[in-house]
Amino acid sequence: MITDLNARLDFYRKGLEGLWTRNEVISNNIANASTDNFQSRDINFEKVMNEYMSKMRSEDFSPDHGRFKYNIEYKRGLPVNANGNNVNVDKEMVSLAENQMKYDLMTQALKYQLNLFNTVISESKG
Amino acid sequence: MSFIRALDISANGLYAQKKKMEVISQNIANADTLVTENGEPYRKQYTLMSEIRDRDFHSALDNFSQPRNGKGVSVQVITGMQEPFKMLYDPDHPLANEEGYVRMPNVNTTEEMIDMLAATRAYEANVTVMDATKEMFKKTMEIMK
Repeated sequence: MITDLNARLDFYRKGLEGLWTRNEVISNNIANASTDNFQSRDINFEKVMNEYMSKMRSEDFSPDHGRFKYNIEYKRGLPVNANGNNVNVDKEMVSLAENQMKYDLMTQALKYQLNLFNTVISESKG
Repeated sequence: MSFIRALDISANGLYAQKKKMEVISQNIANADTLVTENGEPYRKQYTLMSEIRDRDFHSALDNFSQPRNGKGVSVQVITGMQEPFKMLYDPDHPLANEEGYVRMPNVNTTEEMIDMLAATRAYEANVTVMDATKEMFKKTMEIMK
């Protein structure tokens, strides 16, 4: 039960960390929307989380942070402006909103999980 | 995960765009200034934005192999742009030269207006980002409720 709790909490920790980092990356992209020669970036959140979740289902899983590391990557294939900048502010705003909703969702789910565990603990007391 | 760092990025963006607005206002206000302290017409100012990056050795090396997130944007004001002055034909003007031309500031008002619009939009975008960060932080605080 407790190892299960650990693994679950680590999953949320990892997810929230990734979403928060993405928020920082998007903030930086938007702040630099008119910087010369700036290349917009993103993090490989989905890839890392997918790996994490598929490993999570296997029997001998232990939350090992070294193996699941987020990397910041340059966005490829975007049209570049005359000043060498390739930030698309509209798209960044959409990603920002999407990211925020995912973060909301994840905190809600985490709250729910914690409530479940709370119930288990308080029921066993009585 | 640092709340302050995330807000700093947007704060830098806000400051940079505000500075840009100031420079644009200065340019437009001086679009007809024919004589400045050095005797020349007003020369336009320009803002140069650059990304703020970590300055320590490790991240300098990292920048070659792995892109990292910056810490926002910094702004630099460049004065006295060397673009040629506009020449206005007005022989009766007290400052006209022998051929009857008056040297006007090298400010292009239309260009400045468009830059101002872009700066306003960019400022608003940064405000929105700041709000989003704040909301996310609030949600983090609500986990333990």
